[in-house]
Amino acid sequence: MTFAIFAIAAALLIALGLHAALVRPHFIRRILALNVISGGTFLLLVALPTRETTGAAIDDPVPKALVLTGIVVTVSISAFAVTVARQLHRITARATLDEGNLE
Amino acid sequence: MQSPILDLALALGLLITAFRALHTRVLFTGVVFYIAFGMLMSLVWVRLRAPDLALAEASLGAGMIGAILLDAARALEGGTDPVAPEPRSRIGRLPAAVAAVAFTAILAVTLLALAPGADRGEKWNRWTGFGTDRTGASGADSLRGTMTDLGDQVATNLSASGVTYPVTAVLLNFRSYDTMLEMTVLFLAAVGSLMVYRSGRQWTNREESSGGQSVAVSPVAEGATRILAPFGVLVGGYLVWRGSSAPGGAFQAGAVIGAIGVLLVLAGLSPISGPDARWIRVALAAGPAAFVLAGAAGLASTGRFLGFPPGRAGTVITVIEVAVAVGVGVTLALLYAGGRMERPLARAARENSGLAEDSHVVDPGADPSDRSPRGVESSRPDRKERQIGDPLHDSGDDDRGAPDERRSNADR
Repeated sequence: MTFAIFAIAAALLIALGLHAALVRPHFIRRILALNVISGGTFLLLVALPTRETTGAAIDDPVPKALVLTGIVVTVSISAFAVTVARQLHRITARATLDEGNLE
Repeated sequence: MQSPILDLALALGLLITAFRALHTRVLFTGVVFYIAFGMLMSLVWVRLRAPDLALAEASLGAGMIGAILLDAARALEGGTDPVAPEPRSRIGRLPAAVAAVAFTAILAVTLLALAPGADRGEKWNRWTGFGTDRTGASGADSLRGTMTDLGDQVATNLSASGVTYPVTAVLLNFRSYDTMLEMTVLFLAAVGSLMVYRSGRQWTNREESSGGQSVAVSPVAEGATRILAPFGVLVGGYLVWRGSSAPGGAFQAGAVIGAIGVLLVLAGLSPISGPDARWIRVALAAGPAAFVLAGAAGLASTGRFLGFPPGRAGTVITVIEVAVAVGVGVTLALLYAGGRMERPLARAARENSGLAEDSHVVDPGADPSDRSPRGVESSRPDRKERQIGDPLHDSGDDDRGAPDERRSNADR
């Protein structure tokens, strides 16, 4: 339980991101929320197996490699989502798909 | 090194910046907070003894995606009035909060049950369902039993992998299949974005797009970028070379090269003049192609796809890494540059309706309070009745010309 503080923070980040993704319908806010969820997930993946002592046999490189892949994938998908959102905004002048409460 | 105060401060910083990123009124401020969140996350990776992740998070997760989102936030904000509220979702705040808390609680319970040495008693087992069955075996135990210790396997096989740094060995040798698919995802994102860019025929020729209708570049920025760009490429090459024995590697190098691309675009020196340039396609395909070629060569020589011949693994990995770094760099630069190339017709139509233009010139003489009515006007439904123009069917002739001509074109 040495890095439990980061694991707890990661779970809270996932909750924050999930809440914001549901409540805020603006394109860019949703992309930000998804990025926060991704950040929390990566933190969870790396913080949980990390232990206090260090050493070649203990520092598992596999979750770090997985998270590195995850960071690159998240960045590329977010960039593509931004492109599509901007094109939608150019065509329809809307910043959200939600009909909810357009002012 | 035990430092609970530092860890606590970093964790609090993460939570606060994430909250502010998601819930400030002004979108631009939110994106700035997200960049701060990314930098704090980078420090957390250092604390967790993951320096490659720190490099990647700082360059990609905070830098690159921050730059792209800053541009997008300004384009989609629809005005600079910070008081105009964003549309509210039909999902109420309370159900969303309940869903988020419930999900986190389930996550926490599962993870606590999986933690090594967790025996929390009869009541816990009964309530969470991780109880023991009739033979005395616990569900959590069997789940834990399936988790093998991959770290030991990596340490054992590191000498045969061709590199001496374990994370690079995992990325480019032991799990090279995953990295190949990751390059494919990046490639697909680039291709998808190119499809969007080309559908609107947005890109004009290089002199107009980067020469400065709306970009006012100070000579300091341009001069500094001209000096920095070669050093950036040098740093990228160093990171690729260093990645075989120390933290570094192809993706971090690609991020640095992408950052150089962003600087070039900002300085008006963008080498990307349009989506049809052949060198862009070659560079985009370089990453996945290198993997597929290496895999096919491995198939021919060792009988397994992506099986590197022993003794040559280091060379193959280096070649792949160089191709990956170039591919990632060009992809990121393209994803950023594409967002800056706006269709002039759409810009003229937006000028007509009084919206703040997607411009980067800061005019000190303009009165900021002028923009607030424009911000509100932009989101009214009757805006759609104006001739915004169908990007699929408009001719490209509207792209040229002085602002007055463009305005009269839009008034057709």
